[in-house]
Formats: sequence, C-alpha cells, structure tokens
Amino acid sequence: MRLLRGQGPRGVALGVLGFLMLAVSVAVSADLVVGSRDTARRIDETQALIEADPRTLGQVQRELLRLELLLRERARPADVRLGEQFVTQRVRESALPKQRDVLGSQALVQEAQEVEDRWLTQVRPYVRESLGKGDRAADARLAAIEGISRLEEDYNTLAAAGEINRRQQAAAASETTADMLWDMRRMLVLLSLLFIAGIAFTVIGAWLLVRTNRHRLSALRNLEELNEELTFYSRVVQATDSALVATDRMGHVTWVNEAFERTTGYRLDEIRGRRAADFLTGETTSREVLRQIDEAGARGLPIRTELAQYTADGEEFWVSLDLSPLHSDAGELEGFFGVLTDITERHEAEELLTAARQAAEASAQEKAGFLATMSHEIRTPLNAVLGLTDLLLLTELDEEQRDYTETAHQSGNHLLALVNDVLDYSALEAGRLEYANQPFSMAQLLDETLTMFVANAEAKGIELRLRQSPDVPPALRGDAMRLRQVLVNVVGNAMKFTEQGSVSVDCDLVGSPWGHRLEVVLRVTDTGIGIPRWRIPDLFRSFVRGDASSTRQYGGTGLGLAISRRLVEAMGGTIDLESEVGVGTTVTIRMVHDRVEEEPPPVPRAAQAVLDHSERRVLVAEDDVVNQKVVVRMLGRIGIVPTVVENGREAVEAVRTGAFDTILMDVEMPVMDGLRAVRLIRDTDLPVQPWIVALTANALSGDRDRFLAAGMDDYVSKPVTLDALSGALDRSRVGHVAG
Amino acid sequence: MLLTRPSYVRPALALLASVPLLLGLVGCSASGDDAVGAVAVAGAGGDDEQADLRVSEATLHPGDPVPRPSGKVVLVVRGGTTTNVGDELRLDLAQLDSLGTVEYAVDDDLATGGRATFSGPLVRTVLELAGADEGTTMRTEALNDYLVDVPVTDATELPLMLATRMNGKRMSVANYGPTRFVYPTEGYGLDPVTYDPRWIWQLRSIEVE
Repeated sequence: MRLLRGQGPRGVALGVLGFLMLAVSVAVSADLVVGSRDTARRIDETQALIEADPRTLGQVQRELLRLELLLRERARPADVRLGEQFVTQRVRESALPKQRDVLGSQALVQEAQEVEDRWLTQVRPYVRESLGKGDRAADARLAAIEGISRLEEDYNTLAAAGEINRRQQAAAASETTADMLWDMRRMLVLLSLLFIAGIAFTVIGAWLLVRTNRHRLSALRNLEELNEELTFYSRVVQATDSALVATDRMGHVTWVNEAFERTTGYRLDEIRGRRAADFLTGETTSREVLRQIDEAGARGLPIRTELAQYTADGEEFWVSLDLSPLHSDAGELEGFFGVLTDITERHEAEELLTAARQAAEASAQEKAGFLATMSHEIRTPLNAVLGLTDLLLLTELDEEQRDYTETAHQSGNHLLALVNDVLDYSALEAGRLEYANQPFSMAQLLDETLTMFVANAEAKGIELRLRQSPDVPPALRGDAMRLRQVLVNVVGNAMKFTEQGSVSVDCDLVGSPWGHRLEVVLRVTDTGIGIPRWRIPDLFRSFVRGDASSTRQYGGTGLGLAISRRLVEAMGGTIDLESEVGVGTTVTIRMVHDRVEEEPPPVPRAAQAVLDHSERRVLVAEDDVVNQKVVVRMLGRIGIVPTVVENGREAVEAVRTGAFDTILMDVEMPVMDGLRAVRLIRDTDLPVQPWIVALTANALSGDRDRFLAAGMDDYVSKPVTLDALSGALDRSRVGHVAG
Repeated sequence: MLLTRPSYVRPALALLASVPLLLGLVGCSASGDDAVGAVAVAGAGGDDEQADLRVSEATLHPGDPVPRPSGKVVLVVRGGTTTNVGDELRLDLAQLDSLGTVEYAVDDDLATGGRATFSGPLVRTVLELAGADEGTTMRTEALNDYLVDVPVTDATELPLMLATRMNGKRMSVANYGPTRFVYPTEGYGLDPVTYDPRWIWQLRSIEVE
C-alpha cells in the first residue's frame, strides 16, 4: 500500500484542474450567451440594413423631377396625372415605417411623413389644379413646380441624413462583426486550449490510471512475495531448535519461537513484556556477563556470550547467546534479536577440562617446587660430603683410605652432576634460564674446559687436542658460562664414550673475520664407539642415550645433549651430531657472537698460580655448622683464617666493628638473610666496601640477578668446592683491585 | 456568417455540455429562427390549400381561346403560346377576374405599410392561360420602369397572386396598382432578401422565357 501513496496529491491536482476547466467552460458559455444576445440584436439591425431599400428616396426624387418636367413642359394631363400617381405612390412608400431601416432613425421617418403630408396637402392639390384651365391653373402649375422642387430638396436632405445614419449603422454593424470575429477567435482559442487541455488530461489520466494499476499490480505481487517469504521464515523460525527471542529496545520480550518455549518452559503469553534477564537468570548466572549484555544493549551493539540460564522449573542450563540489535529502515534501534543455543553439555565438558588442566598445572607447579626443594635439600648434605672428602684427600692417607675417599668423592661429584642436570632441565622446561651477553675470551674458555679433562685423558690414555683458528678474535660477546656448560657436556660425552684414540676440539671462524657478528664453529671429534645413524635424532631428546644399556655402563642422566641443544638454540646457535659406529662421533656447534672491541677483563688462571690470600680479612656468614666447618677448613687450606658469624645481623655488626676485604655470605639464614644483610652493609658508610660473595644452594637461574641487584659482587654455588672458593677469592682480589 | 455562427457554437456546446450553455443556445436560436424556420416549412403548401383561398370560380380556363381585351389593358404577357394581340396576350381586369380569384391577407410592410387583404388570380393561372407555364423566368416590368426576374417556380410552387384588389378595392397607380405580385407572408418563411424585390407593383408586363 505504501507504493500507492503519493498518488493522492496528483489525483487531487487533476481534480482541481478538471474543476478549473469546467469553471472556465461555464464562464466561456456565460460570456457567449451574453455576447450572443447582444450580437443577435446587432445582427438584426444589420439584417434590417440589408433588407432596407434605399432606392425609394432616390425613386421619389426621380418621380418628383419627372413630374416637375411634365409640368414645366405642360405635358398632357394624362401624363401629369400618371406622374402625380407615381409621385404619390413613392411619397407614400418613403413614409412607411419600414423606411426607418433606410433612414436610420424614427425622427427622419417622422420627417418623411411630414413631407408626405406636405405633398398630399400642399403640393398635390396644385398639381391637380394645374390640369385645369385659366390663370389659376397656371399659378397652380408654378406653385406645384415650386412645391415639387422643395419636396425634391427635402428628399435630398432626407436621403443625405439617411445615408449618414446608414453609414453609422453599417460601421456599427461592421464593428459588431469585428467584435463577433474577435469573440469567435477568442472562443476558438479558448476552445482549442480546452480541447488541448482535455486531451492532455485524458492522456495524463490514462497514464496515471495505467501507472496506478501497474503499481497496484506490482504492490500486490510484492505483497504476495512478502507473504510467501514471511510464511517461509515463519516455518524456518518455528522449525529451528535454537531458541529465538525478540525484544523491544528496553529488552522486553515481544516474541519467542516454539524452541524457546520448549527450552525454557515459558510460554510467550507468560513472558511477553517482561525482561528476559528477570526470569531467565539465576544465582549461577554471571553478573559480569549480564552487565556486558546490558552495556552492549545500551550502546546498540551486538554481543555474543555464554551464560547460565534457568528454565521455568528452576533448572540450570547453559546457553550461547547471540544478541543482535534490530534497526529500523531509518537506522533507529528498534529492539534486539537473540539466538539462544543450548550448550549445557559442552559447558560441562569444558568445566571438566578446565578442572583437569588446573589440576595438572597445580601438579606441575608442585613438581617444580618439589624439585627445587629437593635439589636444595640434596645439595646441602652433598656440600658437606664433597667438602669434607675434598679436605680428607688433603690429609695424610694410606693407599686404601685414599682409594675409598676418592671413590666417595667421585660418587659425590657424580651425584652433584646428576642433581645439576635435573635442576638445569627443570629450569629449561620452565623456560626460566637467562642468558648473559658479556665479553669473554674464547681461547681462555676452551683452555679452561679442556684442562678439566686433561687428568681424565691421561688416565684413559686418550689424546686430547685443541686447535683454535687465529681468526677468532680475543674477545667475543655471549654467555660464557652456558657455552662452557655445553662444551663440558659435549667433551665429557666424547671422553666418556672413547676408550682409545683421541678427542679433539677445533674452533674456527666461518665467513669474514672483520664483521660485527661472527659465526664461530666448535667441532668436537672423537674416535669413540659411535652411534647408529637412526638413533641420532633421539639423542637430543630427553633421557635418551645411544644405547639404553649404556646408562648402566656409562652412568649419567642422559639429559646432557638435550640440555645442550636447548641451551645452544636458546643462545641462537645450532648443534648437530654426525657419527659412525666404531669410527667416532663429531658434534658441531655453531654460534653467532658479537665482536667486542676492548679486551675482556683478564681473569687469572687458577692453573697459573695459587695467589696468596693469607693477608686477606674474610668474614663468613653461615648458619649451618657443617658448612661453616667445610668453608673454614677450605679457607684454612689457602691460608685464611676467617671470622665466622651465624646470621646476617651478626655479619652487619661485624662489618661495622671490623674491616673485612671479603665476605662469604650465605643467602638463607635465620634472623636476617644474606640479601637483607648485603643491602644494610651497602647502606653503611664504610671507608672501603667489602667484596661480597653469595654462597647459595639456590642454584636456579634468575637468582644470580637477584643477588647482584641486592648488592652482591659474585656468587658461588653450593656445594662449595675448594676450586670454586679459591676462584671466587681470586676474582675478589682482582675485582677489588680493579674496583 | 449569420448562418454559420451556430455551427461554431455547437461544437463548443457539445464539448462543454454545460446546462448554462444549453440555455444560452436557446437564447441564440430564438433570435435566429426566421432563417431557420424558412427551410422547415418550404413547399408545405399545395393545391388543396390554395383551393381554400379561392373566392371566385374561373370562367376562363387555360387552353380556352382568349378574346381581345374589351376594357383597359392591365397586363401584357409575352412569350406564351396563347396570344390575342400580335404576339402578346393582353388582358383587361374582367378577363383577369374571370380566371378565378384567390384572396389572402398579408403584412404589406413593403408597400402600404400595414396588414392588407389582397385578391386576384394566381400568377400560375395567368401563365397557364398564356401557355407560358413551361418557361423558367418571368421578366416583369413595372409602369415605373422597375424590372425584376421572377422564377416561374415561384408561380408553380407558391400561391403567388396577381393582385387586382386590395381590401376589395381596385388599386390606383398611386396605390401600387393596377396589379401587383403578392407573396404569402405567413406559413412559407420566405426570405425577405430574396423575395422582397419580387413583390413588383404597378405591373405592366410579364415576359416569360
């Protein structure tokens, strides 16, 4: 029906125009009627002019002149009598009422009648008398002639006056004719216009009719199509299993489908006009989600969310709600349309999954915590075992005792390596390792690493070779400690699986030696038992070794290569292994290091000389009595008699009262822990700040930064070995001097 | 133009079809019915009607030999087959009267200026007497030298009278006599423009061609 709207004004306009046309027609008609009456009168006059016989006046003059001539010529009386009769007839005729048309006015007619009267009474008697004899007749003749003459003049005057009138009337008639013509033209023009207008109206009317009809037809067709469409949609909507709900702008329900009624147990007439949030929600419905829905609704935005709903029976069910705003054609928000899909089962499954995941995470967390605790707990007694066997080996022992002690020491070391591996691996798994990017000397690193294996190589009769390309610059930037760890691991493996022949380490530079970034290749080649090719990929996975039986034969956790690979890759390098059974194995480590322009800080090599530390004033803060003993004995081995305190507070007090070069500070202590103590010491105004080395069983990565941030200068991981302690003291002296 | 005017009006009337205009048309027609009516009644007259006008029976019939006039000659007819003096048929008043007379009243506005009753023989009878009724035109001439051609059909189709008396009296020359043509002014709707000039008076002769 909307399509037909707009025809109204046009119809009205057409009607008004039609009415105007009719009015004009009536006006023209009226004008024509008035005009035609007037015209008809004028035409009557014209007709009279046409019918009038103007000859009469001329003829009377003619007869008068002829009679006068007859009288003058003294014609026969019969002729005169006839002439007189002609005159009489003409005179009578010229005085007839019909002469009004000729003379043009009643006044002239009256004059003509007067002239007639004069003829009949004053002139004609003379004419008749003149036919007699004698003087009287002669006089009468003369009087008749004179009278006739005057009459003739009178008629002449009458004719002239009549002619003037006739001309005026003719002019008036002509004017009438002109008027009539003008009227006629005007009428014709009007009629033509009306005719054209009529045609135009007919055409427009017909066109409008056709168009309206067409519109009506198309509107009908549209309506039919819409109807079909609506029926279809209605069926679809009622057939779907999704619960559908329509609301007004304020969220009041205006319509729901059958699925909604089935799902919720509410019938439409129960809930029409109510807000869905008022009857569908319950205690487990998330207030936050409801708030989000309200907010989206207030802003007219669509929202897709999940929430708990309640049926009419109070049963909880979960739905996925897809709420879309409905806009009118004008773009105004008219309401909302919601699709509720029952996701109760999925939701339950998700809940289970979430719970399982949380349990798993908690478990993993617990494991990590357990590992950390265990490593700490294991290291503390291990510290004592290693430290004391270390010390024991320095005493006088007979052959058998030394053998037992060395075995015990080795077992302790082995156990420590195991613990370290496990710890490293758990740290790697947790992604908690951090990498330094400090200058270091590759040559020194290689030298130190290989030195560790020199004794072992000699014992096994294996040749240990190191070849370093002169292209490798003296200083590189990277994490020397991690690299060393990897190298120790790889070389250790090579040594472990090689019974004869050699283990060689080659260090080369690939590419330009002048670039800023340098690619260094470390190749460790052995002539050991080798590994079958198909097992190689497994080697870099956790807990896998070349041969399952080798665990028993060679010991170790089997984590070495896996850890190495993770470390190398974490530092941006690669590690590859090539091997041939019975021939040997080559491990290639490729690393990229930044070049360092300045020399790395020269670290004195332990092997070079054992520095004399006897003059050093050392404070040891350690709560564990066994560890106190170990540390004190070890320091005694290098000539140092330390001051020992049992906690951080005592350490701070000791620093305030006495001067110390170096403090070995346990981190975990009762009363006041090491970190707090360090901060206090650093805050204390001292002439020279001591070099503080952290002693910690917290070997997990990240701790180091924490220690340094707290003010520590260095740290030594427990269990403390003599070498480690000695190295730390060496560094403290150098650092102190340098500082 | 007078006659064509309604033909302009009518299409307008038909087009507009308005009552006021119809009323107007009535007004127009009333003023023009002299012209319109003429056609409607033309030729309505016949012998029966003319017989009613007859006041005296004929004693002299067409085909009868016509004696020379004994009285004053009042009409000369030429061009007919019947003659009595030379190649003319000269007739006196008695002879005209013996042809049988008719009488009717007319509006004699043209001559005497009023209503008058004329009597005399029908011109048709005169022509039949003269054996000139086969002609087409009567060339009539008046005593005052007036000449007018009148179609013979006027005589054969209309009760055209050769009046010899007005209101029962002889007509002098001064009174448009002695004979004159009189046309009926009622019932035939004769157009004055055409017929007025044919009202010849003081008639002297008729020459039929």
